[in-house]
Amino acid sequence: MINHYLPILRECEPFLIAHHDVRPQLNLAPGGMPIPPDNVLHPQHMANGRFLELLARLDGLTFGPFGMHMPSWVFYDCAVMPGAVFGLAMRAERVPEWARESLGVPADYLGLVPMAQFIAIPVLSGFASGATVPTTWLMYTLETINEISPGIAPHGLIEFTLWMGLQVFPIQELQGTVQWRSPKLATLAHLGPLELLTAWTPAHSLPRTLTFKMHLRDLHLQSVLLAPRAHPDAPPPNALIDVDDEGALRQLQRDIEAGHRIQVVGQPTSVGCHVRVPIFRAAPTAA
Amino acid sequence: MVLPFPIKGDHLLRELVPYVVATPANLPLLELQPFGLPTPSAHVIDPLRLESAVFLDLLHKLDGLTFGPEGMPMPKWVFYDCSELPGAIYGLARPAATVWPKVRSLFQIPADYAGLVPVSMYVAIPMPQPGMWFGHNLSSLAPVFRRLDLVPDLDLAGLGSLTKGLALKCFRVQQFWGATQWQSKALYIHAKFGPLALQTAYTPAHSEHETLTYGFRCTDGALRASMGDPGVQIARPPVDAWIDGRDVVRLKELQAQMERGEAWCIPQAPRPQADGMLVPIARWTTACS
Repeated sequence: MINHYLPILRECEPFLIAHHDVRPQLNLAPGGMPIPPDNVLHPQHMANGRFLELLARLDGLTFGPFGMHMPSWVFYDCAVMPGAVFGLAMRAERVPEWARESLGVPADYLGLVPMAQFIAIPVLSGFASGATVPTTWLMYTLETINEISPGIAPHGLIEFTLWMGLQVFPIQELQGTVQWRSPKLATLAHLGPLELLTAWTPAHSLPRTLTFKMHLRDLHLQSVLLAPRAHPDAPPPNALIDVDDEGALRQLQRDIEAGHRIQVVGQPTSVGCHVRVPIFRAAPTAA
Repeated sequence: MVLPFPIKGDHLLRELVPYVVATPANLPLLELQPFGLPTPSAHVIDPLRLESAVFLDLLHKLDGLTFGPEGMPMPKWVFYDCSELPGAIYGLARPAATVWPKVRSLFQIPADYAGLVPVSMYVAIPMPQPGMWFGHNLSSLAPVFRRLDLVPDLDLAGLGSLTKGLALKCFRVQQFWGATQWQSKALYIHAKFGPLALQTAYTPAHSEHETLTYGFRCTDGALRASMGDPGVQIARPPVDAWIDGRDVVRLKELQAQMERGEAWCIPQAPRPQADGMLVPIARWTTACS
């Protein structure tokens, strides 16, 4: 199934922004495809400033409309220093003029223009049992230019970026947050069943955010590219949650806090204004 | 509550109580009695639970009160995604029942709220190497108390240093890294931990390019010194030069020197000037480590 995505690599090149102390823990050939050494960038070197500005621009375009644009100081403190950034980029000369303008690419710039990025940072619990390499990582960002302008980069970029990005980091348990109405929930649901840590999250800017975790296996990675209708690891749903029903989300949160194990087990479906997500609700385990 | 060594802000531990924000998965990896100072289980806040919402909102307000004027308040999603989920928050608080009336009004505390009101917090994020953390946020109401004359009888001087020292012990940090601006008064606090290794002097990846990245080893001695224990002496190399953080050309020059492999540190606290401050730098030597 990878062949369906290989055309992306005719237009885009993988890149990695990682501190030299972090690089030894990362896989620089995700999916067996080496990241060109010239595309492995140090976040602290002045020469990479322009590329980092373009990355910030991409983030502003994709997350700005959600009110969740990442200020550069957050990118530095919370993303690129504790973790790393993997992505796919096009050479500036391949980017159409109209797209260069919207992406804020300077006229004299000849380097890489980021089209997609995947950021992960370690989670403290990943060091449990004395691990020397963290096994739990938080997917901090997954975004592509296709979310706001599908004509610039190849189709399928978000799935391919996620597939490669997940292999860059030594992830056994993946955690993350996503808004119930975000189209990214469908992409993440391809990975397999998402176990909910929260369903209604007042600690987040957007309370209608869910927090999930999942244990990654090869099966999950492959299914991102295959996009099966039903993931082989997912139990059949026994409920549908209306993502715009605040009361239902709050009840789901209360159930989680009461010890119920709740998983998102499939793609959201929509009919008219109604978006429903299939979930599997297991009874609380005995203490 | 007292620590087993003298500190500058001893009286603060009679007025305030410790708290920790951490997920159930992260909590077992924390030291909940840093230097023997216990964190009551009722003061452990789980960010995944609905009941924590008011306290987490108060933390967000604390951040806004601290950083709002400097233009770097933390969006709420950053608190969640970058602090509460991957790392932890440690701080000192006052129970709502005994909080000072002006502070109650400042925070707009709900009348029926009976939990803690945070007065300081320290946030850090684990890095991929065990024991290595990146500092993210130090908030303290001390400057706000002074500016607004909230509780004239209470001196909160030393609150920031005390909070950061206890937090780093709570997080079991062995090697610390952080970022701050050359003109930030926080450098006075950071320098208390000892000479600060410099990793960047000019940082285009940061909103403020005139940002430095600094680090130090988190020994008990360094933490005790930061809290004002007069019994700890820290060796500091002599100053080679003084940097004006507004001199961008000089900062870029220093950054270029470091990118070529030169090692520098900030050996001691800045020197105040009428219109800002000068920051000392020195060649990295064994006396720095």
